[in-house]
Amino acid sequence: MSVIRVPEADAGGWSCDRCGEELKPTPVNLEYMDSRFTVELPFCAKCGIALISEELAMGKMLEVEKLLEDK
Amino acid sequence: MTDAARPREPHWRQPYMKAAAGETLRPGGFMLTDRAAELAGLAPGARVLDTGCGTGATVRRLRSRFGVFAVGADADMGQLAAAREKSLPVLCADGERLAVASGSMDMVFCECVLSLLPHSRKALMEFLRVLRSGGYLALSDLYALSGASCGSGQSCGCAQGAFGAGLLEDMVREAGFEIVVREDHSRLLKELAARIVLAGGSPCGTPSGYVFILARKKDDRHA
Ligand SMILES: [Zn+2]
Repeated sequence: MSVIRVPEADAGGWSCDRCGEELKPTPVNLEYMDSRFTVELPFCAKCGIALISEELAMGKMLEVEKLLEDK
Repeated sequence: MTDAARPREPHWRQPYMKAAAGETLRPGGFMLTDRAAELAGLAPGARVLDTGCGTGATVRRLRSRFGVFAVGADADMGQLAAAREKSLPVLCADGERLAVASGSMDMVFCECVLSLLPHSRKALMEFLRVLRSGGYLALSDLYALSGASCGSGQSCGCAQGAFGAGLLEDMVREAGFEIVVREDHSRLLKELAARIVLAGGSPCGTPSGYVFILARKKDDRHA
C-alpha cells in the first residue's frame, strides 16, 4: 500500500541528535500487532534511526494503537 | 466552529484519503479484489463489470492482473473523466440502471459501494440481470455493529448507510444469488481507520465491521 505522509513528521530543518547528519523524509515500516504501515518519517541514513517526535508518539501513534487494539 | 453544522465531505472525497487508502479508496485496497477474482476462477477474456468504479483503479487492476475484459460504471462524471484520461473503458450509469445487456457479464464487482447507493436492493437485482447464469458477484461492504451512530453526529458518507450484520447476506439471497463465500474482514477497516489518522484525517466513529461476499447467480434451470 501507499506510503503515508504524516503532516506532523516534517523532516525539514531537523538533524540527527547523535551524529548531526541532516534528517531526510524516508518511508519507514511501523508495526502494530499484526498490522503494518509505511509512513514517511525524518530519518538519519548514517545511524539508521527515524525520529518520532513526542507529539507524534503521544498523539496519532497512540490513537492508532488504541484503534487497532480495540476489539 | 461551524463544522458540526454542515455535513462533512464524504471520506472518499477528502484529500487525505488517497494517501491513507491508495487509489482504491477502500479497506484492503486490491486485496479482496484479487481474492474474489481467484475464488471465482476468473480467466483471461472474461467479461467483468466494476460498479462504482471511480477513477478506474480496479478496472485497470483486473485487466492487467487477470487479463479480463473489464469495464467500469460510475455515476460521477468527474471520476469517469479521470478514468477516461487513463484510456479505461467506463460508462456513466448509476447502480440501479446499468447500460449493459442482460446475461452479458461473467462477473460483477461492487466493492465498498452498495451501502452508499440509495436503492441497494434494486442495484442487486440489476447485478443479477447483467450476469450470465452461474456468473459471480463480488461484494464487499461495511456493516453496522450496533445501533450507535457516528460519534461526531456528522454525516461522513460511509457508515451511515451500512446494513446490520446478516442483512446484506439476506438481501443478496433474496435478489436471487447463492452465497459461495462469506468472510469477515473487519481488521481491514480498522487498519484503514489507522491510516486515515496517520494521514491527518479523522475516521468515522461509527462502530462498523467489513464483510466480503462472493455470490453466484443461480443456474436458470434451478431458478
Ligand atoms: Zn545520525
